Amino acid sequence: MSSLTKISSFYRSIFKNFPLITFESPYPAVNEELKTKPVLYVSNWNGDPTSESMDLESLQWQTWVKLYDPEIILLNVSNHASPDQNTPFLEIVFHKVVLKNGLLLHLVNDEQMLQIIAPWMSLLTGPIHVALNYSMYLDEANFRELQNHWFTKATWPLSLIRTIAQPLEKKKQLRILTEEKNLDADTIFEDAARAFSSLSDLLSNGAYFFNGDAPSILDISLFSYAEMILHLPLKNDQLRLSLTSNKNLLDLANRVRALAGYSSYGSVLLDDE
Amino acid sequence: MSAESSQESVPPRNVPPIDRESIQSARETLRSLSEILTENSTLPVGISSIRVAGAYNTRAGFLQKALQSCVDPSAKTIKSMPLLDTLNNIQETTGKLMAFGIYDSANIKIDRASSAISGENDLDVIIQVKEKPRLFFETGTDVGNVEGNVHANVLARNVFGGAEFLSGNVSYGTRNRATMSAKFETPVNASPATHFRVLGYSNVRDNKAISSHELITRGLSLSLQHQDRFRGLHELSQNFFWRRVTHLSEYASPSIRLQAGDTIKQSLAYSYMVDTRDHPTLPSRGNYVRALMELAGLGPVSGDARFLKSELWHQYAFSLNRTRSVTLAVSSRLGAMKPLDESPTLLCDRFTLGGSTSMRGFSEDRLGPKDGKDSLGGTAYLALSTSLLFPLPKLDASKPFRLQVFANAGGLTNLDAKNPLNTYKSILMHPCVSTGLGLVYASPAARFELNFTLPIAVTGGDVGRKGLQLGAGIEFM
Repeated sequence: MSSLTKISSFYRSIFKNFPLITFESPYPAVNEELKTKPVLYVSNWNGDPTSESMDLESLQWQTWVKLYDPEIILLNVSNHASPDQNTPFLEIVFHKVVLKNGLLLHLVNDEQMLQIIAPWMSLLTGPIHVALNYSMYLDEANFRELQNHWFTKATWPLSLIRTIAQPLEKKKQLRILTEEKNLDADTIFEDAARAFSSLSDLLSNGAYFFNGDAPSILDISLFSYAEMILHLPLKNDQLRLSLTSNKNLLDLANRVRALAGYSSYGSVLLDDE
Repeated sequence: MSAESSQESVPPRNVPPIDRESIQSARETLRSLSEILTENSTLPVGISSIRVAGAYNTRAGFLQKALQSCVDPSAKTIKSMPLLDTLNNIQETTGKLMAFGIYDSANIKIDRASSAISGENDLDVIIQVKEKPRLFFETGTDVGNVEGNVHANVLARNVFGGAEFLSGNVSYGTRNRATMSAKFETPVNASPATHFRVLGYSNVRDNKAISSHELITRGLSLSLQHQDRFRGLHELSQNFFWRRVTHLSEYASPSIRLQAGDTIKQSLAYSYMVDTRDHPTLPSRGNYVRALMELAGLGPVSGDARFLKSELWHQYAFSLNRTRSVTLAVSSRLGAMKPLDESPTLLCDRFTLGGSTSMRGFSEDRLGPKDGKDSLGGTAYLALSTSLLFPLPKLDASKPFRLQVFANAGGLTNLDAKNPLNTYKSILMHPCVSTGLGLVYASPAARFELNFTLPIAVTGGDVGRKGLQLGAGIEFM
């Protein structure tokens, strides 16, 4: 047994010397900066720092990062880049990934504040979000307009999938959802109008919600919804009318836009004014 | 191995043993026939009629065209030719019919012409064929390049009576998780040397161990294939594929994340292959050459991929002894890829290198540029290999087992478009090199190797494998 051990350690000592030659790596270092800083991966963004992402949640977190975490690098990717196929998501250094649903807790990191704003956030993620989806997918005139002018452009025939197949699938899911909950268009838009009104009352004459000096996540979230609603090419714009009838909410959106340094949606807003 | 068991040949029972007298008598008959043929080899004969019997599912028009290039059955009499040439012609025609792959056997019957208007030396030819079953279904396990799979194939032969093939395949493998394909193939102008093929294809490939992603590919390929007189196989194909890089692992690098999503590739490809080796997996002599060129992104549907890619493979095998049991095989592979515009090449289009079938002593597809642990592939590669194979001691050399000693060298990098030769020079100056020895088993379907490998030289970032490496595949260097 000991001779076997001696033989194996002998061969091991020989094999330890291999490889005999190691050349210097000829390959240039790739994405070094991305390995030392956190990266927020967003979608539907053209990469221009003054331009807004056309995805709702990507715009929300893009804006938050610009205002409060500027060391986080922003990159535009497909949603297939995410482990759960949802964007945005955050990659912290050392390969730890925070998925979309965890971004609120991770980036905002103020549980007390989150508890306070939770019911107001639910107005945005609840009735306003439902009304937005209805306007985009279940209103036939709007849906056709968006197919021609909004859904992500891609190489043909990929564009057929992006502008036809995927939105149709989403439309089918929403139809099932609204039928299950017995929601009709009037109810949906009335709920949204009430939600905007409540938020407007909360904001009152303040610059930001809860009389803050700087925009909170609630302000930024409202901003991202407002941008989508204002800039979607909708023929039936009932939701836009509900928003614009609350002038202070529009002013808040303008304030956040200016603070974040965006310049891409200004022309449409001027038309509204 | 197919689920359909192949029956080993069993000697028939109740057959009287053949005696020496019978053998002698048969030899004499053959000798007489041979003498008659030799004496009359220059006798001018014509073919009065030629008929294919037993081809119940083959269209008459197709058969007429198939026979036309050798003999014209519509002519009243084929122009007289020397007997030997006529027999060779008939043999060639029969071989051509067999080459379509729809007949099990073909027997030639020759008789004096029965027509009243035929000449004294004219012949009637009947080619008696036995058609293969039109439908074929198979399930089994298979070996691809460094992976195994289970599969089911269905094949319909002679679909419209013109030697068309319609096949479907489903397979599930260790690396190619789910592959489905449907293929329609038809000879062009009733020629077995030229085929038109339509292939629909869907594949999910697990690249998580190499680059933290799965690759889904779906598409269509139209190709025209032609075999020339020198056994070269030409193929021109128009390909249209949708690819999706998806299901990234949590630890995927930024380079892979930036490549995730959907892309379209529309390409025109030409390949040429000539194989004169005596055995595809254990050659003792011959040459194998394969050249491929692919142009992607030009045309009405340009797609996302725009590049010009070319590859050249070569293998030369020769024996070192009279019995051809000791052989030396020298192989080389070379590839280059250049984007047609400023946009970078896509991950799913780049070359990969490494593994038991390309560079022994290195992990599968793990050579070349990387981002963290993810291999990014490259746009230029060079690989060289030499293997010495010899029989195992005390084992008959006719068995498909060999011991081998090998050495591999090569590298994968990014092409310097301004100075491409420098790229290959740099690979040669700083190559990854490995050597080793092992056991080879060459079945008709695939080659299996179990090697002990030692990396001699590596470039930084490339990791060699010390120790045992198992390989299974069809195309080894």
